[in-house]
Amino acid sequence: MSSVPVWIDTDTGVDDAIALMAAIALQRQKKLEIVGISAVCGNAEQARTFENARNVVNLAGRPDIPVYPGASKPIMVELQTAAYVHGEDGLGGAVLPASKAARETEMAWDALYRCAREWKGELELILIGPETNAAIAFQKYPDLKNYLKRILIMGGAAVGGNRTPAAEFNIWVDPHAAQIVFKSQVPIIMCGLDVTMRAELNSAKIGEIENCDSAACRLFRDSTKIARNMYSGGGEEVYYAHDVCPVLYVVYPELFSGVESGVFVETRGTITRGQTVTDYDTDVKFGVKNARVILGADRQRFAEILIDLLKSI
Amino acid sequence: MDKIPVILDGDPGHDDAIAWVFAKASPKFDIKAVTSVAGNQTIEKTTINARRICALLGIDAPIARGAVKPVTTDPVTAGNWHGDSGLDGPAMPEPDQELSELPAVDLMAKVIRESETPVTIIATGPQTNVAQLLIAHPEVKEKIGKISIMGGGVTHGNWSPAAEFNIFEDPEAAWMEFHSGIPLQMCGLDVTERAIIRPDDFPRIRGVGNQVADIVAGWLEFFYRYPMEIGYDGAPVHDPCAVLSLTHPEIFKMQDLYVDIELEGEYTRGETVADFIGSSGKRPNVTCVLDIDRDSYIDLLVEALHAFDGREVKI
Repeated sequence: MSSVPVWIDTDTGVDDAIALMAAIALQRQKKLEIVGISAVCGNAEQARTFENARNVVNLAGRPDIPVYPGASKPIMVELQTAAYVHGEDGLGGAVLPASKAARETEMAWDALYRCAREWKGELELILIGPETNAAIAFQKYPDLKNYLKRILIMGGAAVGGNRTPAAEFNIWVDPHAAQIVFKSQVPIIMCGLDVTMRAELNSAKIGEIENCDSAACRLFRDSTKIARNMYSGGGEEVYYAHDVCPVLYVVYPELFSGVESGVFVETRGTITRGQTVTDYDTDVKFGVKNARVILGADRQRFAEILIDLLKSI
Repeated sequence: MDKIPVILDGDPGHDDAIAWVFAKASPKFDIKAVTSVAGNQTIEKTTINARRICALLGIDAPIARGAVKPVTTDPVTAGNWHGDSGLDGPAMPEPDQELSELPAVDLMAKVIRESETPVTIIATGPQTNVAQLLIAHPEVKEKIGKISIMGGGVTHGNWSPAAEFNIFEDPEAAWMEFHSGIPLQMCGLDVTERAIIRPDDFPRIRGVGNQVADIVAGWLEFFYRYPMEIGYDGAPVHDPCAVLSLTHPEIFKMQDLYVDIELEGEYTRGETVADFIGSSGKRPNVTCVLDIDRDSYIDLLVEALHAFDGREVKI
């Protein structure tokens, strides 16, 4: 298999940072070709996620991978960040060396469109933050849909939510943008909470990462404390590396199970804002299957592969 | 043990009818009233069906006609499931008692007011009558021991991708009920779509060999037609769960959750939104029934049908 060209759009973010490290490790193995990274607001303000992304590629030894700035607010609603998971700095207090990466000025949507055209329809778009940058790109460039092979999303949930009972954070932050993406006509792989909460790292796995001294493992150790405390709730330690799922899906689809479904985003509900409404298990259907909803993962192999990647970089 | 006074409120409906078979057969219940509501079919049809079912089963409690339409919206019916009469299939006896002169909400209030012990309402249609009872007679709220409903679903819908028919039909009524503070037990699609009765169960049901069993088997044969077309391997017989989860909780899996009703939404109106992870910060208001031991379900139906051995009414 030749390396798969991908674009990663991220609100870096603790699990974003881990996903970026894993992606760069996969690039070393010639399994991925990271064409570009773009920053979006979400877990933290965009100015912060942009710096975080630049610092992470630098930490991974790849300051040459371009990181582009993106949207500073959702397209219709006010930004609400997730400092309660990621800390005010977005990286849970981890301090990274100053980045040698260039400070790109081309905006995310312009750069994405330019690169998608250059890759002639082979580019895969990985969205691990709110869908704002992608939505702006689709609005500005209606033919972008012809130049993306597919979109892999960390976001949404067929059942339940985490930001609210009905909605997952990334979709909840900018539901209108997410609806634009789900209506984009580009095939979608949705890695929602259904799979990401089933691909957890348990205390043994967390210990294995913490006992390694690679740059990625140190980043994991220094950045995940707040999130682990919240997820563990006083019980056994656990960490959900949500954003890693779509990255690993590109290279290891056999680890995942899912179902083709219609998926649309609720933008008008009072208690269901940002819910990804699916129809795979209902009598009345939407009439289109615009997404593959990932529902399960081989959590043992998922953890093994992720840990090997983090150790390698 | 004293019997629990119950009100049967529904929109019969094949599965409402089978729910009432279980209720009548149970030695734990004293049926105090039967009330109809618009839902599966119009109020005229569900009311005549309710009266016929009572004649068939020997339910001699007063019967009252309930809400013509949802609290704030226009009615929708479910003829594709239940047929034109709302109870298509085998011939039924004519009603053997007149309708109560009271509207359903007043009959419900009277029964609750006069009862020495708290009354359980088993509501297997849209929740319109219950909501109107709470609006019109708030003083009886304290004497409602529990409301057991068939409706909603915490993982998916049927009438829309997000909403189940009974709640979709009258979300405002459900909202009032779910916010009432009355102990609520909810059998949503999560459990009722596992309460499947399959064609290979039908002979065993008919084999009970009395009139009620014969008609129940006929109902099931009719009721399976539509779900078979859309890919079910049997008939999801929803409504009896609302009765059995009271009389036989041991065959169910339940979880207390905070559940709220979406009233707006482009896709989610009428969804029962359950808080699995506590992000609402609200305490549980509903006992959600989530799974059933299907084999026990069939055994209990056969057992219930034997309660009608020797009963034969003119049809």
